[in-house]
Parts: sequence; structure tokens; C-alpha cells
Amino acid sequence: MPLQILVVDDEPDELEAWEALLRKKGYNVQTASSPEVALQKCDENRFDLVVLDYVIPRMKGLELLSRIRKKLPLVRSILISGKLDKRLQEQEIRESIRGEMEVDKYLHKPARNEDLLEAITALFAENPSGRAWDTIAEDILKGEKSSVKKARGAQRSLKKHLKKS
Amino acid sequence: MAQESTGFYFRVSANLLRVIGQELVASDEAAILELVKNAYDSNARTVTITIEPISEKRVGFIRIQDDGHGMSRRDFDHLFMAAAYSERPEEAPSAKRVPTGEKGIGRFAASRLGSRLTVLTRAAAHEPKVLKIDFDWKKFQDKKKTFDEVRIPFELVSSNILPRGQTGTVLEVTGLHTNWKPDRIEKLRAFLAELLDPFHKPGDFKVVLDVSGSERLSGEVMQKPPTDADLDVEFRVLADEKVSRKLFTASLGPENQRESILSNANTGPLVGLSGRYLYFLKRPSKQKSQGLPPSVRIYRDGVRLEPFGSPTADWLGVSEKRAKRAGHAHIVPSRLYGFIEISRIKHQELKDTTGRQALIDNEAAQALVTLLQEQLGFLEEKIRILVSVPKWEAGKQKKVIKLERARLHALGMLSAGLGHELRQPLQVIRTQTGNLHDRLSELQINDPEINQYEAAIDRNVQRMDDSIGYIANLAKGDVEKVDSFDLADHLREDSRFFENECRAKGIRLEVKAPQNQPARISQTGFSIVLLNLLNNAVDALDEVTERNDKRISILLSREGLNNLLEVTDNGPGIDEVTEKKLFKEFETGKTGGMGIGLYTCRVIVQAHSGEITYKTRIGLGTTFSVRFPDR
Repeated sequence: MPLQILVVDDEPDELEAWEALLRKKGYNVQTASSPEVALQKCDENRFDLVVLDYVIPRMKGLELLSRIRKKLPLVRSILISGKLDKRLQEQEIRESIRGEMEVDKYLHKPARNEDLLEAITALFAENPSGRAWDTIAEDILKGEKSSVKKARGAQRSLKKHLKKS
Repeated sequence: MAQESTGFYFRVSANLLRVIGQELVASDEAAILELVKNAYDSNARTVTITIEPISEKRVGFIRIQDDGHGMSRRDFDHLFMAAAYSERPEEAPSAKRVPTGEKGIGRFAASRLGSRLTVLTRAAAHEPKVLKIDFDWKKFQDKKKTFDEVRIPFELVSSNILPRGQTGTVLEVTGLHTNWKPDRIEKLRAFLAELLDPFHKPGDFKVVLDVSGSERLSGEVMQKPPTDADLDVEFRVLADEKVSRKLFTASLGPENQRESILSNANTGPLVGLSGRYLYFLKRPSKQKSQGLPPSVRIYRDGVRLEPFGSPTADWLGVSEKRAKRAGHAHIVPSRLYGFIEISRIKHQELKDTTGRQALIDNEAAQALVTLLQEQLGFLEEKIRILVSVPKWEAGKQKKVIKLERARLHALGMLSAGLGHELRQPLQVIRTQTGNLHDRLSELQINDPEINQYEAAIDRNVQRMDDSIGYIANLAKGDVEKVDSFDLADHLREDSRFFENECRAKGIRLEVKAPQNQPARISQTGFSIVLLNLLNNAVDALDEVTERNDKRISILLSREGLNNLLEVTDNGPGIDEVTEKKLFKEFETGKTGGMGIGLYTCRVIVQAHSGEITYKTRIGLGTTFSVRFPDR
């Protein structure tokens, strides 16, 4: 089963471009051009990954991500932003964003197609075929220690974010 | 007086004295100055002018006393009594001084001051008595008498004023025509002070004023130099046809004093000469000028050489030049002060003319004028740079910097929004180009030409992205904030930003910088200046079509406290029309230019007490030099 990806961007052309790319690469892609649509789609689908712009009208990308996380605690995320300073080292960016919210991968806009594809591959390297929810649930049932650990981690971060909001 | 008539003779009416005293000597102050000059010529070391104003109790007098060589009876008869006769330099009793006297009328000047003159003089220190001569000028009023019919009595007397063992001359004027009130004496003081070099007062000559009852007006007469000049050029002639020159520009701060050694032909006879030009961008206040009228003066061993620097002597052609170049940047004579110091020992070739109206027009004098005009040319160049933008008064300049900062801030806000705005379409272009590539692969089209186009699109997307980042970054920074960083490294990084563009335009971009150059300046300010200068250099080279060795070189070095950045292009150079408005706001010589580049550079550099200058040669190129002093 291919990965389910949600792309959120207010720019239709950009959304279309990403969608075309990811679909062509065999991912199961859905798009949202507003935070409201994105949240609604999260109720209906269990996405493995959300790709979102840092700047989205009416809601910051990070805020949207935190609300998506309430619905999908284990969802992976890639943030693409043209606003952050490219000169900053990746490490500094990660730190500045992680302070607010966990983002798995940050990409500078305009990103190359291969950059995004590589980022996705890297994020799911541990189970390339897998959909996070199902595999982790299976693993937990099998009693695999690493997955139990992951689940506990997810639980902790979930609690943390619930407390915050 | 009757003569045997073998021809005609002038009979000079005694009244001529009045004419000379009143008409040739312009004022009472000038009359006293003449007498002081006579004292100087007599090798005096100190001249004391005692003034006792007329009051209810006192009749009043002016006494001018010197410790010079005095006059014997013979001297007096030959020199003092020979009207309009003045010693030639070689006749002066001692070669130590070159006489300052001019027309040989100094003695008559006394008649202007009062109705009587008493001279006391002793030429030989061992003489117990002094020669006392009494002039009653009223006797000369008789128009029927000729000069030589007026007898001047003398006697030998003892004197307390000129004690035994001391040579010198005392001139005492009584029956004063003028009531010497304090403000008048003040004027006299300023007038006398002008005789003396304000920077190097003569070591062997002083003038003391003694006004009874006034401590304020009494004391040594000195000329204070003008202060707070906007430009200060000091030069000194060294051996081997070299001239050392220092420039100090007030608006650019005290760290900005720089010295350079220049080659200068034909300065052989001038070795040891020094000079200084002070220039004010606007007419100096009395406080700044120290009451000194503007002009370029020559001082020999600290004493003024006339007529150089008198209001009517435009001996360096400053006014003439001004008239010729009306409307251009020029030296305004009323804001220029010059102090040229020559020495009677070192500069024997600079000789006075017989009438001592000027210097004998020989090679040395010509070399002097040439040198002084060259230095004026340098000054003018500096003035042009300073006045080519609105005159910066301290407060105004701050305001401009503030404005500039506000503008950069606005630009920052704009570019942050703009960055997002521009990067979105860039993202679409980039992603869709990738998708296009994939689609073509699907259709089994693999064409090297298409790949080449794709690569070009990607490269240019990257370039735009870099530009956005660069500008956003610049705009974010504070042009006044001082950062400590490695300037060499920063320069290399910044220059890299231009590599693509230069490569695309066939320009070789060279960066010469030391391995490291720690600096304490505004990083953002430096980047903006560099960006502008490089932009200009690239634009200048764009105008060149026939050349295929287009080159921009960036040179970073250290020069004392300054970080020196030089950006050189081998473009067409800057023509005169453009040059005039080079640093002006919203003036541009380029299509699509906004005309804020160099203006902004200047503001930033000035905010850092730095300096921005340029050299340009038509057809050969331009170098901009920026000096950023460490803070």
C-alpha cells in the first residue's frame, strides 16, 4: 500500500505541481488549499505524511501541523518554506522550528523535486512500504521493542501537545 | 632752497609728509604695523607697544620700543632721514633677517598717529647716553616750507626707558589723533597678530602689547590658527623631489588622517618648506576663523611676507579659476586659509624683489607657485567629493542615516514578504520543470538539448533565489551595528554571489584578499557597499562590447585602522557629466538604474566615519576605494 500524503498549500499552481510529482512517483496524494480543508481531510484519512507550506493564509503552517497532530499523532511532516533564511544552517533551522513544534524535515523553497523525494525516502527508510499506523500497530502486537518505544514516544508528545493546546 | 641753475629741481613741500602719512598709510593700525616691521628689520627680538589712552588725567601716548640694533647718528641721518628710502635686503646690517619693510615710509607713518614723535635710540651698548630726536609734525604743515627747511633737533640724553648696556630704539608718539578705546586696541591686536604665523610663531621675535590699566588687552600678541576646518591638507617638501601630504577631513572623523608620499618634480629649491591649507565648506564663523581674514599667506621664519595673502593679491589664481569654472565645484577664496612656511636659511633662492612687493620671479618662486597650485588642486578634488552631495551638517547627517535605516528596514519588511511571494512561482517553475523532465522520460524522449534547457532553468531559478536571499539578508541587518567578523571570508562569500552573473557576461572576477582579516565594522553595511560597487562595475562593463578581456578585481587589504576595499573594472570610465552627479540621490546614468546605489554607499560609509573615493580614466576603467575604519 503506497504512502498517503497530504499536501497543503494555498497556491493552486504549486499544489498542482507537487501533486503531479508525487502521484507520478506512486504516492497516494491528496491536496488541500486551505487549513480548513486540510483538517477536514485529516478526519477522513489516515495520512502518513503531510507536506506543508510555512505560510498559509489564516493559519501558520506550524499551527496547522499541531492541529493535524491532534488528529494524527504519528503523522510525519515536511515543511517547505521560502521565508526562512537559507543561509542558516539546516541544524539551526531544525532547532528554531523544533522549539515550536516537531517537524521531521525542513526544505527551503524553491526545492528541487529530488530534494523532496529524497526527504520522503529518508523519513520512511525504516519501513519503505509501510504506513506508519498499521506497521506500528502490528509491531506492537508482535511485541517489538523499538516500536513500543516509538509508540510511547508518540504518546508523550501527544500528551505534551494536548496540554499546550 | 636756491641752487645754481644748471637744471630744474623739485622743491618738496614739507606738507608732503602729511600726504604720505595720511594717504599712503591706510589706517592707524597700519601705521603701527609699519613701525613694528621697522623694529623687526632692526633685528629686534621683542617689540613692546605701550599704549596709554587719553584720559582726564593723562595726555596719552603710544610707545614702540624694540631691542634691535638701534641707530647711530650716522645711521639716523642716512637711513631714517632719507625719505622713501628702504634698505635693500643685502644692505641690511645683518643677514639674519630679510627686511619686511616696504616703501621706506614707516617713519612717516608715525605722523598719522600723533602730532609729535620722540625717538630714543642707542646703537652701541657701551654708550652711556642715547640719541634723542624730536619731531614736531606741525612744523611740516607750513606749505611754503620745503622738506629740507624743517630742522629736526637732537640731543644726547640719559634715559630710563632705554637703560645703559642695551641697544634698541624707542618711538614715542604723543599728541594722539585717535582716542585708543579698548575695542580699537582689540582691533590693533588682531591686525598685528596677522603678521605672525599662527602655527609656528617665530622663535626669535615677539610683539608685546602693554595697555596701562588693562590686563585683558596686555600681553604677547599671537595669532591663533582657525579651528574646525572641514578639510585640512598639510604638506612638506622632502628631499629627492618628494612631497609628504596629510589630509584630514573633519566630517570623516579623527581616524581618517592619512599621510602619503608623492613624487613631485622641481621641488629641489623648496626642500624643508611646509604648508597647510584649511578649508571651510561654508564661510567660517569668527570663532572658527579666529578673526583671521581668509587667504593664502607666506611666512618667512614665522613672520608674514607681504603682499601674499593681502585681499588684493590673488597670487595663486584662485579667484580667476573660480570665474573660469563658474558653477562647478571649486575653491571659494573666502573659505580658504593657507599658511606657507619658508625659511631664510633653507630657501635662499626665494628672494624678495627690491621693492619687496613679492618674490623675484625665478625658478624657485615658480616651483613654489606650481607646488602650491598642485596642492590646491588636490584640495579641490576633495572638496568636490564632499560638496557633490548636500552639505552634511552633523545633525542633518544623522537624520539621513536614520532615514536610510528606516528605508532599509522597510526594504527588509518588503523583501521578507517579497521573498515568499517570489519563491512560490520559483517553486512552481522548478517542480514543473522536474515534472516535464519525468514526462519526457515517460515518452522516452531523452534529448541532450532539452536537458541543457532544463539545466539553464534550474540555474536561473537558483540565481533568483540567491538574490532574494541576499537582499532579504541585507535588509534585515542594521547598517550601524558593529560586528566582529572575518572580513576576508565574508568578502569571498559575498563575491561568490556575483560569480554566476559575471560568468554569464564573460567577466573575469578576481578576488584578492588575505587569508583572514578580522574586522570590527557593520557586516551589513559592508555588504551593501560591496553589492553596489560590484553592480556598478558589472553595469559599466555591460556598456563595453568590443572588449573580450572584461575584468573586475576586488582587493581587500588593511591600511592602519582602515579596512580598504578596492573595486576596479576595466570598463569605459566615468565621463565628466556623470561624475558630477555620481553621489547624488536619484541621479543615474544607467538605463534601469535607480540612482540610489552610490548615494547609499556614501551614507553608509560616512556613518562609519569611513571614506569613499574613486579614480577613473576614460576608456581604461574605474576604481572605487572604500575605507572602513575599525570601530
